[in-house]
Amino acid sequence: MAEDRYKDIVIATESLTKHYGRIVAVDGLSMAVPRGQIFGLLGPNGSGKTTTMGMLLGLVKPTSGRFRLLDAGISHREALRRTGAIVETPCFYPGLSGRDNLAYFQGISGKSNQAELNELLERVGLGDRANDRFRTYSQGMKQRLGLAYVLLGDPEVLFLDEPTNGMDPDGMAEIRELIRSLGTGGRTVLLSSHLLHEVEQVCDSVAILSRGRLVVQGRIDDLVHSLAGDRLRVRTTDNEKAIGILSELDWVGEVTAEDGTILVTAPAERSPELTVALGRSDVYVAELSAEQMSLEQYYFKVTGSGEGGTA
Amino acid sequence: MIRRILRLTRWELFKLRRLWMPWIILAVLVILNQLSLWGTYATYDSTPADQYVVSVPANAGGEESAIRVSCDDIEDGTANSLLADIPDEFREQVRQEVESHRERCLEIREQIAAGRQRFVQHCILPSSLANGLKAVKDFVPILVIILATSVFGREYTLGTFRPVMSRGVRRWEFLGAKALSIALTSGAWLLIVSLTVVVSSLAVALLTGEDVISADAGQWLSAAVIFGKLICALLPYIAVSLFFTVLTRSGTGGVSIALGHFLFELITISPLTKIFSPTVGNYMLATNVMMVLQLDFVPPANEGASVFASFFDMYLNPLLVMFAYTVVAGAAAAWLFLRRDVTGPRGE
Repeated sequence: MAEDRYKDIVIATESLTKHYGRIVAVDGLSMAVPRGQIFGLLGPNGSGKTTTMGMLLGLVKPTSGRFRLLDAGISHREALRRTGAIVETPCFYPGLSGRDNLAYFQGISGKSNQAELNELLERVGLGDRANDRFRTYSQGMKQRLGLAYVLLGDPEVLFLDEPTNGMDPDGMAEIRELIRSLGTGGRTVLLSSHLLHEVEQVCDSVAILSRGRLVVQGRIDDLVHSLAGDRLRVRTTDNEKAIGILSELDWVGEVTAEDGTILVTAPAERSPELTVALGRSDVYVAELSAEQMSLEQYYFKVTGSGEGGTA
Repeated sequence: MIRRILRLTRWELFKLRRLWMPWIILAVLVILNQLSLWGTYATYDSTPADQYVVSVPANAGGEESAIRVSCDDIEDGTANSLLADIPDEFREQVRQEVESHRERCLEIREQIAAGRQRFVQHCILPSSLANGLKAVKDFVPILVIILATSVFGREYTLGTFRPVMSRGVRRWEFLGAKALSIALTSGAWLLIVSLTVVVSSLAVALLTGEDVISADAGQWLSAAVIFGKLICALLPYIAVSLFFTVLTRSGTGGVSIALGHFLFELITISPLTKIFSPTVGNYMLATNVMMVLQLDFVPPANEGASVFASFFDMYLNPLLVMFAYTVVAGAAAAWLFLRRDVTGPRGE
């Protein structure tokens, strides 16, 4: 890989592929995750998100292709020591307490810092239950311990796979806030989630996978805007007449009626001219706004999958 | 690298200490060992030391009666004073009768001395150490198989390889640390068993009035040799157990195959020897382990002969076979473990 190209890239993959027998889990994935971003990995079940994370973490051997984690010139092992990751469900030792589990993972990394353990347990809201055995934790508490685990050693890159899975709405909001705070100070977060609104609220950029292939990657604002384009939604005193007037304007593209409004393909900066043109024909604008597309709408549009709240 | 493995081993021991399994196995070993020692003590305690009593019929005053004389009475002359109460006409007859038991008393004395010697050999230090370890030697391989497959299989069941490996721990280092921690735990079992033997031996010495340490100093070496042989015997079983666990990616699968392999070898050695060749047993793990554990090391009789040379003459083939099993099974386990993908929790 040309190193200068990847200077500000923390994770880069090039034609990364994984086959399980005849099943292709990841197919020639080339993706780049910029430093200091909260980066969402989206895709339906079986799209290759977890396999991709597994390959980046050295848990799954790629069939072909290359990847780089953190800086060039450091070993993958060294990169992993500067990474925190939780893949799928948080897996810990049920007979050990939350604190002992963290102490174990801190210890095998060659560190011993009780103050860090206390601080992390408090930060994820497990301070009171730190000495209880992991087997007595609820699903939400397990997720919290998983978050404390990924933060051990203050890593530069975090891999979070469904971090709010099994949490109640309050807990989810709390963890979303925590993830947002983690993405500050140059730290990079790779977040895989089925919850599209969660990704939209938390992430700066996303990559959308489908059947092991990268469908699209970019900043959420740019992606959503690219499909929404220059579309205006207008409600007037006489929509039927307005459609006729607007269709005559040479700088206006497609004009369609939808749910009592008119969708107009036109540059947003020419909205005043559009208002004037309608006014001249005694058609008055009751409402005019630039059309917004949600990440969810965008996702379903590019993946061609059905409607729903989750990916 | 060694430092990293030692660090991982330390933390593996941290986890092992918090599991029930090693403590239960330790309790089983201690109970077996103590049963052996105290069982011998109970036998000793019920053996009469000087109560061989002869009842000699004596006709006194026209009525049949008897005097009771112990071996001690015969040997220290007390019997003569007992004869004083017997009428003169019968005294000589009874004296001859009592004297006739003197030889039998000597025999009994010798038997009691031999029994006491056996007891001292078994229950008093240092012989008790060797005997204590021998009492558990047949169980230790089975218990080590159970421990090794359980602690490694658990990682598959819980899916905890993922968080471990994603912290930059190398797989072979983790496998090595697991093997080392299992070996250290097994060594600790044997040490604790030995310590309980020491404590019990002291108690037995106090109860019986024997010396705390018998004069047979050579038994210290014997105990050390048995300890070393047990440790050597465990290594191939740890490697084989890890291999089967990695192969099946399951503690249950691992323990079934590893114990099956252990028992299969013991059961089939005889028919295999008859069907194929008498030397088949030379290459089987269980046979060689049993040979090492059961053959007592006999130091060379002639002066100047090397103890080590005698040791290796006796144990060379079994040790080589055990070494080969350890290396091959360990390497196979590492090879499989390194090349496979790390999966999530498998549950069982």
